[in-house]
Amino acid sequence: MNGEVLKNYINGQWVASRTEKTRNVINPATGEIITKTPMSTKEDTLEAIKVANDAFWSWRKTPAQSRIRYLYDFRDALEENFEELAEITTIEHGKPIDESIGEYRRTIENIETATSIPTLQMGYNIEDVASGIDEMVIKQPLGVFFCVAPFNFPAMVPSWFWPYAIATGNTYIVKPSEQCPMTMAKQFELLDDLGLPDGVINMVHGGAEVVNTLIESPDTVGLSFVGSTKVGKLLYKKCGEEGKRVQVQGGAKNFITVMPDANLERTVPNLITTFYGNSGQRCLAGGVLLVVGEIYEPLRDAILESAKKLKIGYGLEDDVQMGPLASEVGKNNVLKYIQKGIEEGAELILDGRDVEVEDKLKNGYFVGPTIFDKVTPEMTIAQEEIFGPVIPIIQVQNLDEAIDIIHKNPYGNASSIFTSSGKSAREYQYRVKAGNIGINIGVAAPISSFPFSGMKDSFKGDLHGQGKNAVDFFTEEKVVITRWF
Amino acid sequence: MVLEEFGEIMNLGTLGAILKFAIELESNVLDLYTAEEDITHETKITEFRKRIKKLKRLRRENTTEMILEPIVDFEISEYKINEEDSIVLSENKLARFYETAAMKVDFIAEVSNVLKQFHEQHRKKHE
Repeated sequence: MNGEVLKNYINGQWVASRTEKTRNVINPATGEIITKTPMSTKEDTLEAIKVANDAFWSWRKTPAQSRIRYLYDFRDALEENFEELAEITTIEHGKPIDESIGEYRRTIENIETATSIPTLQMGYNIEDVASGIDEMVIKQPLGVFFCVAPFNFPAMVPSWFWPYAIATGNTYIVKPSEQCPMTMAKQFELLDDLGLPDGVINMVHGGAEVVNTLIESPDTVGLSFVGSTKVGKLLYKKCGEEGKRVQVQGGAKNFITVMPDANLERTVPNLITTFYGNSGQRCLAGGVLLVVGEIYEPLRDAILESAKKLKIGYGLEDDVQMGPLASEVGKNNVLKYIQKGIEEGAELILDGRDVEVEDKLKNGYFVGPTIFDKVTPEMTIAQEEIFGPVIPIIQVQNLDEAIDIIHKNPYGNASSIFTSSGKSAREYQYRVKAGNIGINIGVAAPISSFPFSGMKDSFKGDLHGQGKNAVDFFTEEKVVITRWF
Repeated sequence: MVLEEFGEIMNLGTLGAILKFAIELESNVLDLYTAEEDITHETKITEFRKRIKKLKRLRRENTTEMILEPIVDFEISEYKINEEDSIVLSENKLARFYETAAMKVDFIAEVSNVLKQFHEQHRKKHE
């Protein structure tokens, strides 16, 4: 890429933005500038909206079976270019190559699920609601949808939305993360080869100006957003004012509870990936470790030993188990939380601030695995989303105390329990107010045929991404009542 | 012949690294068979190619973020194939590698089972 400015993809063409403003895209492992994101203008965005709107009627009349054949082709293109795609994500995000591969597997699964639209989009009917009168429901597409994607899963998150949207007959605009835009740029290169009708799927790079224009336009229908709760709430309100459909996946503070009867040998490696996978930059990452009873000391010691062994470095290298934070801002944010933890009296038993990396990575945004012991529920590091490789450990006396702490937190994205007891597990899934519950699974990531759920401040809206929820979000139900004379 | 990709690496710490290393080992032994230009090796060569294809598929499809657990204490040195290694020795190394690898990834049964199968396939050849 070599510092060139990325182009938008509008009406089946690669077009330069009208803007002079750009943002550097930096390889977070090396600190090198690899490309530039154009901060596209209102005019760029309006152009994309117009062509998507123009394309809508023709596309919605295209038979569903024909629409999904493009997705079959796209799926094949992703498989054929799998290695390159995963490498691009690692280069611009920093995550180890295995995690990029895992992300692309999820992306492909969403494409595959969206190819079931001819079944998933079926309505329903009944004869003789009154004498000689039949009634049916048709699930119809609505128009131009758009998504605002985050940096942490730049490939997968847009796939929760756009494949379902276009398969159901809508047209679409993707606004990729301005921090990690190359992943979607590469996907659009593959889409460009498929011969989709112009305007069906478009991409506009940029920031707030693009998002505001998309929401304020009378020619768009709805927004799918994944990002911080703070921004998400603003967009949710704005979409409400503009009468848009909206699904907002916000921040998280995921509590992971370990019971005294947990299988320690199997639990510890899973906790390591739960808290340190993607360098903690997952909306499903572990946020706080709640340890019940006498397993506290052996668990803490085992995690400490495992965390110390993690290989930190450049994600393209095969032995690397954890990469850098995705940005300097992200790194500084994590460092602030570590400092806050120390100031509020938690005991720092593993300090990732002084992590050693190779010389060639000295400008990268690395923070090593970090563990705080003797954390209390009131501390900032136990309350707020750190979005980095930090484990705050809280000892609790029993499951009730753990659930009480979880419920006092405003977020409700995910929560997991590690236990050998079916009773405890059932109690947990029944009572805990979180959208995604893991039983002996720390990263409770739903596959594409299930909704990516979320509750409380972690989600605003009614219908989530993926699966049947996505189909419902991208369609509206029309009732037809029929009598023939 | 020395494995370039893993030349500097001492440990295999991820599922992807294990599978990639397996592909390289298989490719290296395949090269040894191919170099002999012996028509009786054809079946073996086909088996190697099938295993490589299967390993590539496993790497693409079984790297699942829910269970990307770190792998520890899996040293690479004793499995590396060197220029002077015979086919028998190389394949024995491959068999031993699969035996250990299957245990290291036992948290993903599908992958572990395939690696066990491959261990058996290589072990039986030179018994």
